[in-house]
Parts: sequence; C-alpha cells; structure tokens
Amino acid sequence: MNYPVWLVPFGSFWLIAFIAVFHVFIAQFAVGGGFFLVLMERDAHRHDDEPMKAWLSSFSKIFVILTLVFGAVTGVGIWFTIGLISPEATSALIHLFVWVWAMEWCFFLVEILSILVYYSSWGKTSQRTHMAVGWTYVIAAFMSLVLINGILSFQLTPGRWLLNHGLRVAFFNPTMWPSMVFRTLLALVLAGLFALVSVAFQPDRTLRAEVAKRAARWLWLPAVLLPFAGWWYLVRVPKVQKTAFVQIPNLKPLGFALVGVVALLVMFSLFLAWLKSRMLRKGLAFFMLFLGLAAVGLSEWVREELRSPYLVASYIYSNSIPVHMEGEIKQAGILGAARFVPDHKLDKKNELQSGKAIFEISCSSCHLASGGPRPLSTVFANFDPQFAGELVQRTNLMWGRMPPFSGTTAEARAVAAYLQSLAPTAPISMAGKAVWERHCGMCHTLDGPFRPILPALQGMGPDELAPLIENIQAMNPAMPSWSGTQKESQVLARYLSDRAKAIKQGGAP
Amino acid sequence: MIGPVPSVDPIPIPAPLWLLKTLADATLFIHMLLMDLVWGGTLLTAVYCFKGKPKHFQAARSLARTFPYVFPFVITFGVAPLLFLQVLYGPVFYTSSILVGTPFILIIPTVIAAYALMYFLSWRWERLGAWRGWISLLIFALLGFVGFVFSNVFSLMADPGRFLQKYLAHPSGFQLNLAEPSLPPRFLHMFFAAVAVAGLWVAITGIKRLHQEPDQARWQCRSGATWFAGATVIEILVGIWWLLDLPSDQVRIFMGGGGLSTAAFMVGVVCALLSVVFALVGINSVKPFKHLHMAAMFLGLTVLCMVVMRDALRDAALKPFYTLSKLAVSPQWGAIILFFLLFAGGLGVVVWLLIVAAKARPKPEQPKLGSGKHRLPEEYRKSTVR
Repeated sequence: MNYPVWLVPFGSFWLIAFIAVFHVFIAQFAVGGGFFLVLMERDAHRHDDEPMKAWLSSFSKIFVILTLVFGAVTGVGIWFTIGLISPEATSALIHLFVWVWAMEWCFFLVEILSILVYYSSWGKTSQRTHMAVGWTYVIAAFMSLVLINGILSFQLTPGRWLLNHGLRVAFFNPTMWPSMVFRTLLALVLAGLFALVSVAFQPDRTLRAEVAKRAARWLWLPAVLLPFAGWWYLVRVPKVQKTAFVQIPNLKPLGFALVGVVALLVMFSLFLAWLKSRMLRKGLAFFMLFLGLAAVGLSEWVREELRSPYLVASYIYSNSIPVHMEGEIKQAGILGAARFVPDHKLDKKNELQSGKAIFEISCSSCHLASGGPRPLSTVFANFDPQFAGELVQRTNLMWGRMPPFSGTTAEARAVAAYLQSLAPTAPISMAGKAVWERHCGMCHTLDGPFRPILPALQGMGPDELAPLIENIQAMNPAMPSWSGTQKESQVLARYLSDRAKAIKQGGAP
Repeated sequence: MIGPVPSVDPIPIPAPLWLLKTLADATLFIHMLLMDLVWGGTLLTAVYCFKGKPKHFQAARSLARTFPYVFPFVITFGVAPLLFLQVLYGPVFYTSSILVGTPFILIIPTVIAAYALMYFLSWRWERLGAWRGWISLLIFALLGFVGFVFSNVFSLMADPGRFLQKYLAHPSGFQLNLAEPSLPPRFLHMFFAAVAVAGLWVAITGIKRLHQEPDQARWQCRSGATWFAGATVIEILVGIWWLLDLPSDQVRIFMGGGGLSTAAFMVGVVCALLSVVFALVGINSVKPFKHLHMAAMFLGLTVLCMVVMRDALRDAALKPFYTLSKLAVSPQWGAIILFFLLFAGGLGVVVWLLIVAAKARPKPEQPKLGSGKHRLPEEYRKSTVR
C-alpha cells in the first residue's frame, strides 16, 4: 500500500518459507551444537580420549562452515527477504526493536569470533582456555536466540504493547517464555542430529558407536519435552488466535504431524542410545536429520498459521495493510490510498489493469493469480461475476483466516474481473457436490468444525430448501446474495437435504 | 497528491538521530576497511597466482588464509550500518531495494557462494594447483556483483523522483539503476579503494616478517605499496569524475556549503595524498615499517572522511523528498544504556578472544590429535557401547 509490491513469479511466500526454515534449522543447531561440543569436549578431556577430541575438532570444522557460511548469511537473507516482501512490518519491527537487534549484534560478534577461535585453537591452547572459549560461544549463541525469540514471539502475541507501546512489554510478551523453551529444546535436538550425521562418516566403528550413543542420549529427552513446550506455547496464545484450529483447515493435521515426527525421533534415539548404537549408518542419520528438519518446518508453519491473518497480531495484516489504516483505506479505496499504482481512479477502461494492481497489493502476499499449485484464477473460474465480487469482499469470513478486503465494492469487482480474465474456461459441473463447493464451500463445511451447515437443515426437504437458498441474503446480510441459476439452487437443495438425512442416520455427510 | 516517498513509520525513532548516525557511520567505516581487504585481496591473490613465482605464491597464500577469518566480520559490520540505515531512511531504502528486488535478493546466495569458496581456497590451497588463481578471481567477481548491486540500491535510494516510473516498468524488481550517471564512478571508487587497502595489507603483513624472510618482506612491501599508491591515485581521479557527475547543489556541500562535509572533503583529499607519499617513501626506506603505518593511518582517515561525505551527500540528494529532522523521535534510553553496557562487555570479551588467538601455538609435547596413541582402554568403551 505504502510501498511497492515486489512480485516474485513463483510467490513471495515460498521464498520466505524456504529461507526461514533453512535458517532456523541451521541457527538453532548453532545454539544447541555449541553446548554439545563443549560438554563432549569436557568428557573427552576427563577421559583423555584423543580420538574423541580429534572427532570433535573435525566436527567443529563442519560446525563453523554450517553456522557461519549458511547460518549467519541466511539470517541476513531473512532480513533482506522480509524487507522486500513486508517492508511495512519490517519497518515497524525495526523501529520498535532496533536496540534489541543492536544487543543481539553484540552477542553475534562475540559468537562469531569465539567459534572461529574455538575451531582454530584445538590443541593450541590449554584445555581450560579452550573450554572457556567454547562456553563463551555457548552463552553468546544462546543469548542471540533469547533476543531474537522475543521479537519473533512478539509478532504472534504483542499483548499489552498494543495498549502502551512499551519496549519491555513488547519483548516480554505472553509467548516469549514458552517459545524460548521450545526453541532451546529444538536446538538441543538438532545438535544431537547433526552430530549423528557427522559421525556416521567416521570410519572408526567404535568411535562412531560411542558418539552415536552419546548423541542419542543427548537428544531423546529434549525431543520428548518438545510437545509439552509446544502445548505450553499454545495455551499462552490468546483465545482469538486459538480459534485458528477451527478456521484453518490444515492446522490440526500439522499439529499431529509434528507430534508424529517427534515420536519417531524419540523412538530412533532411544534405540541408538540404549539398544544398538552400532547400528548407526549414514542412511539412518540422514533420515533422523530429515525428521529434525520436518520438526522445524512444521513448528514454524504452525506459528505462521496461528499468526494469520496478521504479520504482527492486531497491528499489521498479512498483506502489510496496517490495522489502524483500514478505515482510511475503506474511504479512499485501495487505489486512492496506494502510492505505487498506474492509476488512482478505477473506471471501466482500466478495470482489469486496476484489478491486477489491487490484487497485487491485497492478495499477492499469500496467493498467486495464475501458475503455481492452486492459483486463485482457477478457484474463480466458475463463479459468476457478481458472486465473485461479493466473495472478494468477504475474505475475512472464509476458511483460512484471511485479512478483510480493505477496498471498495467496485475494487472487489475489479479484482474478481481480473482473476476471471485469467481463468481457464472449464465446463461447469451440475453435480450436487460441485454446486456446493462452488457456492458455499469457501465459507462453510457440511458437518465439519468450521461453520457447519447441516445441523441447521435437519428435517428440511429440497422443496423447502430451494427458496431458502435463493433468498439467503435476506436471512443473513453477511452472506452474499444468491447468484446461481434456478437449476443450481434445486440441485443444491437436493444435495443438502440428502446429506442432512445421511448424518441423521449416523452416516458420513 | 500522493508523493513519491512512502510515509514514515508511525512508531517514533527510538534514539536521537545523531546517535544512530554516529553508530551507522562508525560501523560502516569498519565494514568498508574489512570489505576492501577481502575484495581487493581476492583480486591480488588471483594476480599473484597467475604470476606464479614462489614469492607471489607466498603472498597469495597468506592473503587466502586471511579471508575466512575476516569475511564473517565484513558481514557483521555490514549488518550494523544497514540496521541503523533502515531506522533512519526506511521509506527510501525499502522502496529502492524492492525496485531492484531480484538482484538484491541474489546477494544472499552470492555471498554464501563467495564465503564457501573462501574456505575451499584456504583449506584446499595445496591441492588446488592452477585453480587457485581462477577461484580467487571467481570470489572477486562474486563480491563485485554484491558491491555493484549495493551501489545500485544506494544510488537509487537517493533519487525518489524516479521510484514510481521504475516500479511500473519492472514490478518484479528485475532491474538495476544503470541510467544513474554517478553509478560508474561510485562503483569504481569502491573498487580502487579495495585494491588500495589490500595492497597496503600485503605490504604491512610482508614487512612484519623482515627479520625472518628479508627478501620476501622487501618484495611484498614493494609490490603491496605499489598497488596501494597506484590504486589510490586512480581513486582520486575517479573521485573527481564522481564529483563532476553530481548536480551542482550537491557538489556545493563539499566546496564550502556544508561545514562538516566540506571539512571531510578537504581532510580526505589531503590524507589520501599523504598516504600515497608515505607508501612511496616506505618502498625504498631502510625502516619501512613506520612509513607504512603512517600510510595506513592516513588511509583510515581518508576512508572515515569518505564515509562522512557519503552520508552528507545522501542527505543533500534526499533534501527535496525526505528530511531526517522531521522524523518523530522518542528515545528508549533504558535499552540504549543496556546496549552500551553489553557493547562494552562484548568488546572486553573480543579483546580476550583475540589475545587467546594470538597466543595459540601448537603444543609439540602433546600427541597429534587422532593419532590413536592415547586410545582409550577398550573396556571403557565396551562398558558403554553396544
């Protein structure tokens, strides 16, 4: 709105998802890995275990490459990406947290120098000094996590900051502590997993088994605790956001998948830790690392879904429109308020071009118009123009928790016209299920968790339902007016009546 | 009428402007010096490798060893000024980076590739043979791309009048700011500064070994100082080119129109000339150490002046569109004090770590790691490993 929209051909959301998951994966390993290294080193010194020290030295080499080359630079990459994709939210976060980032920078500086000194001074300083350098790294890396976690959790739960705008309440926000515990546990798990992968290449079988056992014993407990920390985190998320579990269709499966992945990880690590540490092979190690990556990806995904439809909850919507500007934009229209559009006025001649510009401003942060796995143009393909326009105006009522459409009625129609202009022409199905999906499925479920419709229709026959469908807006003004044909309303009425009967008899809807 | 510059963030600036500017310039100064060393250093490494005599290889080897240690600090000291810049100039910076979005985001994979290659070059030096020069050249080119994109973003940032037209031409950000007349001198100014800094580094690190390897030290001193002096002289000429390309109202700030910027310009030019003189004297001097250090000091002052001038130039160019003094400021004093305490503590730790690194020497009495000599008794492992 205030800024130009950077149009990534394959969708900016994929770019940020890829960089973020990759970075979090490496960055959290960087925190846990340091801890793993120094504790293993302490044991190696105690037992004067030279082969173990040699392995730790080579592990620290991999550690340096991963954390500095990939971890540090992708961290900058996230920052670059959010600045390009959501300049409004990035600016807000930087204005509020610049000193927190500056403090994090101090720890980061120490972190980098200490890991370089740690890696390059194996066997070149006293054991005591080397361990001290290692511990310096551990503390600096952990403090980086603590500070960044405050900012990340703020985005989901700004809490009282929305009222008093203070830095302290923003940082110590409602999910700051559970999120920190969750991330720390994940960091410990990842450290164990990377150690497993690294040692799987070790030709010395005894050493390999020894490290496998230690790494597995290291990671199983944090892995067990992860779901509990996740639960604590969810409990601290305000009620409004928790309704996301009902409103976002894929959130529950994501949660279950996360628990499943963690359970598998625990199982494998218990096996390696107490049954057969000699069984560690490259394949198993990489599989376990993949499970770790899945855990990171899934937990970040859950967090993102919970945060929808905001970038900063109740402050900036996910399409970068600030909540406080909603009223102003409603009055001026998106084209009237936007700075980087070809035309500030909408008329018949520029409808498609303006529809494209409005789509880019209000929808492109999460949707593609065409191309990609599920472009909006195919969703809009079979809607009639009036219904399509009314649908665009009701984005906040649909499944998936979207921000409200801030534009005018004419602008909503322009977006719909633009999407329909891209839509492939397909034959319109008149099957009951297809009519249901076309006219109702965007905002209702039959008997599911999200605005179920069948319970209200019990005992009604098709003849009663058809007129009800055709006059639906008179009953509930929030609904779009019925724009289908008479044939469609009859097909839909029969379909709904049949489904309602089926659930009454205890069957599936 | 909607103006070309996005409106400022409703959250006020959380620190006095002078503090943010000082921190931005101070960290940028360090970033510039380190970046110059690595970027120019990769070029010199390549040149030395292609020349192929043992003295060249030795200088190249020592440079290549430095890169993996210096480059993370190039990044860290680049992040800090960019952070403060986003607080101060967010509306123009975000916009210009979006307009150049695609090349801008490509900086990240490019930096990763360059950094990974630095480790590759340093760790595999012996085995790389003739590839050394080519790999150095590749790193040099990758870093050159990064610098070039930054030059585009920062030059476009100071020219908001063209934002809308550029956006509408390429909304995917697949463009640069090539029409900007000051872009070539701006980029070349950075390039020659990099060669100069790397040259001086070669000379100074060489001369430190005057007692151990006098021939190599003398040669490195001569070669490095020649690179330094040559590059600095060209840089002065490029600087004049840059000045001539600037609009007259912006040139005026260096010619008596702005107190600090005029002073920085004058001092900068004098220091640049003095550094060349000291380097040239150092080449033939019996005790070159002192002269080269004087050259380094004046070079540092020159770079500092350039950073100050660069900042003043940006404010002058932005004046019709965006003025810092109009921004709302509400300092977070508690956080600022905490930052400085942490900074001081962090600096202490950094000094300690540098001392540890400087003192680190291989201990001959210890067995080589992994020799297996001190293998643990099997029963220790058997008791625990299944």
